[in-house]
Amino acid sequence: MIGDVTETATRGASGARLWTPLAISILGFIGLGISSYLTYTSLTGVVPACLPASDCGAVLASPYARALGVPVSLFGIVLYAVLTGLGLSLLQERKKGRALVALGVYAGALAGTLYSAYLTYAQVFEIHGLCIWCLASAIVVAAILALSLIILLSGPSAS
Amino acid sequence: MRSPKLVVGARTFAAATTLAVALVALLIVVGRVGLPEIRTSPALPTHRTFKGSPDAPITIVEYSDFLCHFCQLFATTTGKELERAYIETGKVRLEYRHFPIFGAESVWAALASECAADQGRFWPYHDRLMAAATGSQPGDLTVDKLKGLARETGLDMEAFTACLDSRKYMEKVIRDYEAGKEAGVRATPTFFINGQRVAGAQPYEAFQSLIEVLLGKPGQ
Repeated sequence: MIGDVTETATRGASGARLWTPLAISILGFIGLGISSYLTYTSLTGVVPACLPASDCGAVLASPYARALGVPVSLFGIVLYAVLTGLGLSLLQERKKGRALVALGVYAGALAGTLYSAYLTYAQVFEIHGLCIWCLASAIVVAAILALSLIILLSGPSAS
Repeated sequence: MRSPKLVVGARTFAAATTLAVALVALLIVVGRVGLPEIRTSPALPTHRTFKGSPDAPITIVEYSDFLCHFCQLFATTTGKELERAYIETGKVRLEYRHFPIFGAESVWAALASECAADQGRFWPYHDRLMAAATGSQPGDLTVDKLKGLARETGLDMEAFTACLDSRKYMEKVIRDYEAGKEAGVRATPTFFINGQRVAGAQPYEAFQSLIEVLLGKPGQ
């Protein structure tokens, strides 16, 4: 009984408790879909579906689409899988380690956002073509970064 | 509401931030090492898709796809300016090579342009095709449409149709593509100005400054 009350109180004390991890998980899942699709097109040589004005084919055929010999979208799959997993684990009401998990989301999403920014720069200034899937992924990972900051800044200091 | 406070220690937060930034920096640096540097284009055979004097001191090799937006942009703007300033004046010779990246439609367009070249009309057909492809939706550039453009260009339709239907120049198109890949072409359009790689539909000024530099250094 007392446990239940405490739990409810904790949940109420911070509105960010439930919806932020849920949003992170959903966004992570969307990102997973985008990067899986791009990896599939890259490995099979299929030109991805694209808006008429953008140049997905050119962008994804450019050297920026690969790093360390693999399509960069493969890193995307790994990153989004980790972020989704961490988001789901944040949904549980475990107190212990929660801050560290949120910090993991933050670090991963920060890395993703920075790399996406670099790729967007390359699209605009070096490839001169835009890939709508890549931009969508950049927005998703930046949103996850923002959500992780909400969690990290949401509470009284961990003690 | 309380002022926002970190749920982790400031040092831990800073460490995580540094780690993420360092990781990305490393990935970018390592990734750039793999980027193709300026490379020399393969030895230049004389063929039907060039324009300009064969004795021009500068040769621009263009790897292009009729369906690529920036190739269309180049063909209708910067390419025309270059033509007036350098090609017609005998300073530059431009050679078109196929780098089809948008699937079957790109390949058919490339084949059709080669069939026009059979009749010595590559460039008029090229210009018409680039203009027609501008703003087109995927699937618009059908084989019938390619034939219609040939008719508008005033080509001998019997010869053109036989050439296109038999995919006469498939091997040539594939050879261009392979040569492009070999030379480091990863996106269209890509240019080699006397072997120096220029990627993307750069503004006219970018071509101009490089050409002027090269003109100042004969034998380069």
